[in-house]
Amino acid sequence: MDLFLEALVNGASLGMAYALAAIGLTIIWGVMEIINFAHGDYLMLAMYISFFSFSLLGIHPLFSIPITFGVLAVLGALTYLTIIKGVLKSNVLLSQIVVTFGISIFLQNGTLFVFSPNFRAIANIPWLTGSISIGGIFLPKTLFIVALVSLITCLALFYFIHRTTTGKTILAMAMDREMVQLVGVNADRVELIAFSLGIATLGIAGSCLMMVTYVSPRVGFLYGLIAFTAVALGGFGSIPGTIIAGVIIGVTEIFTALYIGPEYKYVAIFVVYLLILIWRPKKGLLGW
Amino acid sequence: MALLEVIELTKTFGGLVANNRISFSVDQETILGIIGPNGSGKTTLFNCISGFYSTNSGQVILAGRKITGRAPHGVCRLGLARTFQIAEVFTRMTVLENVMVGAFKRDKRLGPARDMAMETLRLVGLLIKANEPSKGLSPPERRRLSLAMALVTAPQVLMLDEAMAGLLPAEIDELLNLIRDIKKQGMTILVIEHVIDAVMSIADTIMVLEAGKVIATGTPHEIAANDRVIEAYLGKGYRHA
Amino acid sequence: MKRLTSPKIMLMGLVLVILLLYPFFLKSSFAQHVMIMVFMYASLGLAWDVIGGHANLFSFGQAAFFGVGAYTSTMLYMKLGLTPWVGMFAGGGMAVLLGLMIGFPTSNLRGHYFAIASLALLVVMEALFTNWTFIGGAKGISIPVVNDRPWLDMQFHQTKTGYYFIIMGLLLITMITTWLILRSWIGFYLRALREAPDVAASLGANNLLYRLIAIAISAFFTGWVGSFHAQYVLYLDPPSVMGIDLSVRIVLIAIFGGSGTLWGPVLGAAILAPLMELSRVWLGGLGYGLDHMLLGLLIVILCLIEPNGVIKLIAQPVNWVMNIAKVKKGVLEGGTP
Repeated sequence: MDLFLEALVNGASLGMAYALAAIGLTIIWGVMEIINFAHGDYLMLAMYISFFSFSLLGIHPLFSIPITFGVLAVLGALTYLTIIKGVLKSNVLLSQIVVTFGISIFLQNGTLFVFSPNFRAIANIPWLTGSISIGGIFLPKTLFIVALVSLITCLALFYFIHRTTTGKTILAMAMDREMVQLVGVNADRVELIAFSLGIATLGIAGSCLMMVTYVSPRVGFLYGLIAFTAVALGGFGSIPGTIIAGVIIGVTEIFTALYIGPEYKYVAIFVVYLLILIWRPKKGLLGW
Repeated sequence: MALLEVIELTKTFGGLVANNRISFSVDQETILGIIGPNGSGKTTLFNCISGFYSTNSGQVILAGRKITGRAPHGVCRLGLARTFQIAEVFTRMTVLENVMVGAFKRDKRLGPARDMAMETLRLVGLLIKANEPSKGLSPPERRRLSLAMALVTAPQVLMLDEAMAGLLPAEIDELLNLIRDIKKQGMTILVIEHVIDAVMSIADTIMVLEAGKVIATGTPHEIAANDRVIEAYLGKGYRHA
Repeated sequence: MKRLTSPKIMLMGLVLVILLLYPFFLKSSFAQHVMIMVFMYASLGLAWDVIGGHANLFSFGQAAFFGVGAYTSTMLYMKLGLTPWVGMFAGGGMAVLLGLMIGFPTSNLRGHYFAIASLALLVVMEALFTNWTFIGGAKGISIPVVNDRPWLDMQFHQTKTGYYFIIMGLLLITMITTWLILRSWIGFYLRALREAPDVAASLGANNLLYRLIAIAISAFFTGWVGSFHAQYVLYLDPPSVMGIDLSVRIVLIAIFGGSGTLWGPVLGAAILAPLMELSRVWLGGLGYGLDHMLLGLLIVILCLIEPNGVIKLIAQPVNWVMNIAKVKKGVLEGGTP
């Protein structure tokens, strides 16, 4: 029973990290109805930045969160202004999907070129080595912190979207874009903020995930796919849905690794996703 | 002889009863006009009959065959065609191609389908526009196109949902004449309408819905004099001689 | 008779003749390989476009059909000695079965939801195949080199000319079949269901049925190319025939060239396949992915300039050329220009 609970807690924590990676995607979708297939690759970039901040500059991953947040916010804004905006205006759906694929290929291989395909990881993160014990259940300190940061970020995002004016404008745009323009809001600016915010959250997620797993150019694909799955499962556009879905995914991964075999852990995620999709296909668990 | 029979049809959405035990029958080669305030359940009724909504209870019988519970494409194949409140056409196709889509129900081959489509376009007066993109049609032309699309499937029953909405008086007259022609060729037609004069002049029977229930059925003359209908919908200024 | 001599037909005839003579003039193995890749990707792109461009189902799982086709024909060849000519059809058939199995449960999904589901399915399938020891698992299968019956075994070792004509034949069949289907009632229903599914249904179009038909067509034409590929390369393992890279490349080629048209995917393959092969040789050898970087950049630029694909880009110049040809012809026949 203890093992079960431990797997549950670990899985949920990992799931929170996944939710954090996915949340930006759901915001962007809600506002612009575009799926950024390069999402995972921005996450990968953040992980690299965080890694090198630590290994070259000695900055603790937790403290590199503001750095990665800022850098990715700028990257997101640049991406939006140069590429996304143009493609949205053209209104050709296939093109919108494909252009982000192009970005993904470019980023993955660009990173491959610059940093080589080697896997990198930090073995011992200061202050966060070892595990904590919650009533007999062991949770690695890194995972605990990641879950905590993720929770705080999700709450902060929720507060931002529902309580601040800018956030509420974003929410309004997600519901009815035309109305928002009719009442005098600059839709392009809101899109810019939403997109940049979505990518910026990946900055936080990147610094977090870097503490828990290894970094390599291809890592973005896997986490990107998990993020899409989380968003599709929870329902595009729903923040609570993404969080719940993330947790489900994390738990599935850990349980599969434990009870079936580690080589099946990712397969299990997608199988569960597909099964839920068949049972409740329309808009995911909570989406719109 | 009743071609279409609706028996105790009920449709609820959550707590709202949109269609409440609605029963009526339509004889062959007649026109039934369905009128009533907004939200009284008229389009819902059409959607239930044509298979877009599932019904909670009740039956729909077309030419002796039960069509309740069938999917829309199945209902079409059994001989019931409809138009939609917002006249939707396939904007990326030409006018002719739009009608061909319906024609394929009768014959899968390109040649015969094209011929049937042309014939139907001639009937609704859109033949000259056959090879134009359907995007460029004016609203009344679009109405006629969606009518042609439904007509070409050679249905036994045709259901028109607010076909007159937004048309000028002259355009309404044209459309009414067209509908009369179609009826003369043996069609049975159900029309939902808000343009009262139009529906009064063309229907053999009128059925009035209010809040999901049938509150009156009768000839246009009887309905125009019916107090309850006047109060619910027509307004006191409307007393047809 | 007039239609047979129209400029369009003459141009196509010219291209056909050039392609038929190509392997006899350009004998280098690499030159032939590039054209084989062009034909292959053109077929795959066309097959994708049947569901992506006409039925609105963006499938990122084409590699699953490809891989199933490859493995089916290979296993039949290795275990039963069945000639790949029949194996090809078996491969296509298995792919169709897979497609139908996938098509039913996903029948409610549209657009982005379908895309992600197809991605997930592909990942699952690749993982399953990697762990399936009967078909070689992660080690893959090496098809033994056989030299004495090139046509029966579909293995050509002196030159690639045999392969060239086979894949060209496959492409031609795919093009003609797709063209015939898409201009028939099936094509009409697919386009109608894509644009206004309710109206289409009210006119008698069965959404599920036609979706499955489209998936079956796409699956078959992808699967049998997979079988061909197995015989061409003589080695298969899950990453090479069922990997996400392959799926993505297919989608990119179809869209780059112009989805929803007959020549779009062909054009896309004609441009991108040589580019991919050349850049792989010049740049990719370093293992640093420069070639893919360029590809990514190219895609982004194209999407910004002409989102409808290259085919729209060249539509104007092509029309201009056609009109000139028409005018010249008219003058030759003594008419007024």
